[in-house]
Order: sequence, then C-alpha cells, then structure tokens
Amino acid sequence: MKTEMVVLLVGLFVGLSACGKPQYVRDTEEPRLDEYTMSLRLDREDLNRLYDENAKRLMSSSIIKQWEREAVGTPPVVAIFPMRNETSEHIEQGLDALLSKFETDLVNGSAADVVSHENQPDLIAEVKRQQSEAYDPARLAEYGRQLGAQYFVTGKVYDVAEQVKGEKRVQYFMFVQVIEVATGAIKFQNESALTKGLIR
Amino acid sequence: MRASDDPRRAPLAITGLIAVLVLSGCAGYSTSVREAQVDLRAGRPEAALDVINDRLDLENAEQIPADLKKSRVLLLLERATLLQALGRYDLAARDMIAVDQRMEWLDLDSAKTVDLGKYLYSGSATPYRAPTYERMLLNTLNMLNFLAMGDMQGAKVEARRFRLLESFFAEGPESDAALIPELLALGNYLGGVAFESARDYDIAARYYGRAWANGFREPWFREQLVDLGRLTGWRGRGIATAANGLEDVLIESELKGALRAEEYRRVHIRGNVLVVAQTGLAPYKVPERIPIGAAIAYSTRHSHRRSLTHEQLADANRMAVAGALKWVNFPVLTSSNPPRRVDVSLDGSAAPNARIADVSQQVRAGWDSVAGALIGAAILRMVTRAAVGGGTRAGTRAIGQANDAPAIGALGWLAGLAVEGAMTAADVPDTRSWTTLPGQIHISRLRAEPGPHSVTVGVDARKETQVVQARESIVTVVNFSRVR
Repeated sequence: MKTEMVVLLVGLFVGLSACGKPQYVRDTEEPRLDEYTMSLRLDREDLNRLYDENAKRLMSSSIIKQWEREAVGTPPVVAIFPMRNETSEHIEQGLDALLSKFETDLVNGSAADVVSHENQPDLIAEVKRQQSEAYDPARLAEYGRQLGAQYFVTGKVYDVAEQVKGEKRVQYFMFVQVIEVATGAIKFQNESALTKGLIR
Repeated sequence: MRASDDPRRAPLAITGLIAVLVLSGCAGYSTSVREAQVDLRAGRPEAALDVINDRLDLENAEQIPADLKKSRVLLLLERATLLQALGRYDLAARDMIAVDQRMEWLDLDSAKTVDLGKYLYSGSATPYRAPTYERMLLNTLNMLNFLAMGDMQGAKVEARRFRLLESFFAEGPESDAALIPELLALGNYLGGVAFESARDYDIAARYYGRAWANGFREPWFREQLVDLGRLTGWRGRGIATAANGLEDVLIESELKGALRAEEYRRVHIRGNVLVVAQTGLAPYKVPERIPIGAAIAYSTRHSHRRSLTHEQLADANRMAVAGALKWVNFPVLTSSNPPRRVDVSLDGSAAPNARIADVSQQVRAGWDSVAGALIGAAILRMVTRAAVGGGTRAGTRAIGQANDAPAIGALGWLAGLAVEGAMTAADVPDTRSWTTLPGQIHISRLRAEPGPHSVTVGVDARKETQVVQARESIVTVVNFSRVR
C-alpha cells in the first residue's frame, strides 16, 4: 500500500495536473455575471453608466426643446452618426450599442424623426476609412444632405492609457454632441468619464 | 496481509509509474505544430490552417476556442498569422485582438518573480508568457490587418497600443535591452500610414519620425518626411534628432516652406500602394539534449542574468564529474535560413523595395538575453532531481525494511532510477514561441493612378500576384505572406 502511495504521489507530482473545464453560463444561473470586469474595454455596466450620464443631460437640453417647437410644423430629421474612437481599445461595438440606446430615447422621447445609423452602411464604411475627415463640418454637411438630416447626434471617445510594472489604467473621456448640419455648430455637448484598470 | 500490501506488486507499481510518466510527457509545442510549419514553408497556408484548427479542437476558422488557457493562446496567434497570409483579415484581426487581451493579462499577471525552471519545462501546463518582441509584433501585424481592410480606425487603435508598449518597453525604466530598433521602425512606420490615411497628419509625423529615428531611412521616405514637416510644421518634438539625421530632414522642411494638404495628398496619398512582404520563417524553439559540461559553460558565459550561485555551480560540477548528471534537456533556437531575395513589381514593372525589419535577428536577440538564466535554471533542476532520486531510493528501502520485504528494498535503486529517468523523460522543454513569424519584412511604397493594378511579389523563385485597388484618398495597403 505504502509503496503504491509513494509511486502514485510521485506520479501525480510530476505528470498530472487537474484543472476545471470551462463552461458556458447565463445571467440567470450566475446573477453576478454582468458585474465582473473582464477587460479594459467598455462593457454593459460601463455603457449604462455613460448612457445615464449623457442621456439625462441630452433629454433635458435646450436642443430637445427646440425640436419640440420645430415639430409643430415639420419635425426635424436627426441622424445618428458613428462615434469616433480615439482610444487604444477596440470599443467600436460598445460605442455602437451606446448610440443605439440614444436612438431609442430619441425615437420614444423626442419630437424629431430619427434616421438610424445602422441603415447607413456606406456612411459607416466611409467613417472607418477616413475617420478624422468624416467629422469635418463640411463633410458632415454633405452627409447630412445625403440623408436629409438637419442634425447629427454623434460623439467621440479619447483615452489616456498608462502602463507601469504589473498594472495598467485606461481613463476614458466621452463627449456626446448634437451638430447642426447646415452650420456645423455644436448645439449640445456633454462630457463624461470613467476609468478602468488592470491592477494587483 | 492485504493484497494491496503485497510486496510482489511493487514492480508492477513502478512499471505503472514509468508508464504514467512517459505517457504524461507530451511532445512539446514546436513538435505539435511542425506539420503546420512544413505546410507554411511549402506555401500551403490553407493546409497549415487546418492543422492549427485541429490542434485547437475546432472545425474551422470561424470558430473560436472556449478558453485561451495553456498553449491555446499561442495556437490562436499562429492561426491569426495564417489567416493573414490567406487574406482573411477580419478573422485574423478578431483572433489577434483576443490574443492581445489574454497576453496583456498574462504579462501583467506575471510581472512578479517567476520560477524559471517551472516555465522552462512545464510547457503546456502553464500559461504562455510572450517575450516583449512578440507583444509588439502582435500589435504591428494586427495594424497590418486593419490597414489591409482599409479600416483606419482599427489600425489607429493598434498603433496606439503599439506606442503604449513602445513607451513602456523601449523608453521607460523597464526597458527591454533585447528589442532591436528595426522592430520599432516597422511598428512606427505602419502607425504613420494609419494616421496619415486618416488625415491626422501631426500624429502621423511623430510616428514616421520615430520610424526614421529607429533606422528606416530610405530616400523616398526622406522626401515624404520632408513634405510632412512642411505640412504640419513638426520639428521633431520628443525625438532626439541630431544623431540620426532627422535634424537635417526637418531643416530641409523649414527651408522649403509650407505645403498645402491637397498637395501632400496628391503626391503621398493619392494612388499610393504600400506593399508589405513577409518572407521566410523566424527561428523558433526546439528541444535538444545538451551535455552537462557544455550547459555549465554556457550558463557561466551568459552571466549577465546568472541564476546559479557559486555553490550551485559547484554542486553541478561535482555531479557532472561523478557521472550523476550527463545531459540537460533544453530548448534551443532553430538556425536561421538565409534571407530571401524579394522582388516587387507593379503591373509588370519592377519596383524598389527595402527590408524594414529582420524579425529573425530580433528573435535571436530576445533568446540570447534570457538563455543564460534559463539554462542555469535547467541545471539547478537537474541537481534537485538527482537529490529526489536519492530520496526515493532511501524511502523505498525503508518501506522494504518496515514490511520485512527485502524485495522492496532491492527495488529501491530501481525506483530511484525510475524517478530520475522518468522525470527526465517528462522534462519536455518549453518550446512555445510564435513559430509562424516571418524571418524578414520588406516594404515597397508604389505610386499609381487610382484604379485596379496588379502587384507581384517574388520570393526567391516563387511568386504571388494580387490585384489591388489604388485609391484616391487613402494609402492602399496590401500584405504578402503566403509565399515565404
């Protein structure tokens, strides 16, 4: 018995390593699933936080009231324009999700007619090709004419990313804007920020 | 006496131990991907992709692994490299982003002191820790994926990630002395292309300036840098300009006067095609048995990161002389193939190209910087093992005496040998590395009228041709890495 134990222990020590297998779960099985921070990118918790901060300001802004007044005649057409990612993280999908939430609020809570950004694949492709140029006011006016829009809801996200030994921090700064197509004037802007980190 | 205490079962148990140990010893990473290497060498990346998908237990490249533990993160990186060679840039980018995130975690997680011996031999049992150059090449080659797709937004993200690593590993207090400037030149040059195409000219100037400072100084690039200085007024802020000739470039910019953006775009963007040719294969790690004497000498020579104390070295020497230690299993780099001859042509007319990065040299430099410490850890492990073998012999002898079973005691020496021998057999050196990396990377910046053009890259006697679309407003980037 002892001999076999010696043999088995040495065998286990040298050759074998047991590890749990990964498994798929849903939020009803693991209620805290959405609370875990799994990367430095923007997850749903982050998006909800950024959205709440910005939507509250936007929906109570003077431009929303102006659209209500204009809607007495012909409702203004508002296009959702992709947000500009100027960060060191691939957060494009998160930003698209954020804009979709704005879109929902504008459709349900404003007097404007809304043109979905998801129905503008050519525009999105153009933005990806020439991101900076696409946000030039002259270019925006051109897009606006193509879409029949008087306003764009858009934004940009910047970051300050830093790494030191064993830790990394990404500070996000988000600006949500409403731009008047005809003039390029920024009719609404709000800044919000959040920080994510990989720390010990 | 119970059956399980029967000393006659001891030989059976020892045999079982040897079988367990032999079976548990895997062939090692480089052996497991050798087939894919052969296919890639022969210009069959499709077949190589099948091999890697098989190793990942996946049916196709659209699927992703359930987790990236053990060696899967590296296999996924190999797959991304093959997908890039096949022009499936979206999938290649997806895989590289996943690998990057995982490596970032592992890199920061392992910033603490690590057991070199464990990492040297535990192979697929431990997470893969990428050397600095692999981390930086990952962002560089993923930048290439996004550039080839014309997705400047994604390319800029990768450029910023590269820059963050560069500032940490090449400029900060944690600098990696094994990084070669050419690697930085490549990443910065591609970053310059991304920001230039996105019309962020000020940022492009800084990336291009660092590419120049790190040694990429082709005459046509000089012209472009002069014009970018004229356009942006950039005067080399943040870069030492005197020693590398950048000062002269910037003086020329100033003397020539301002340049309008339209004129810059007409010359340097409109119809520009950047050809990136990845050729050969960088050295990768393979297992080798090294005589103990040679190993000790090697460890002593590479004393800048010595891991053995004088006492440990003395122990190793004593055991070597006594014949208790004969060999050390150790990973070594494959020898480099001579660089390939690269020819580029546009619509049948030969065009100049230049080598921007010698990845093989970088891999060798990276390995040389750690090999001394690693072989020291390997020797230490062998010394420890000899002691374990001795302990096992003593232990089984004691069991034999306690059970009045001389057969067990007689088998003590066999048990000791079994432990030593089987542990050696199970000591498969960790040969994990990015085995599909190219040996050299060449670039060629061509000018053509917007529209379709035929670009051919010759690698020695083999050729690959792609039809590319030269564009009005961004630099068209085309990758060639199928023919190595």
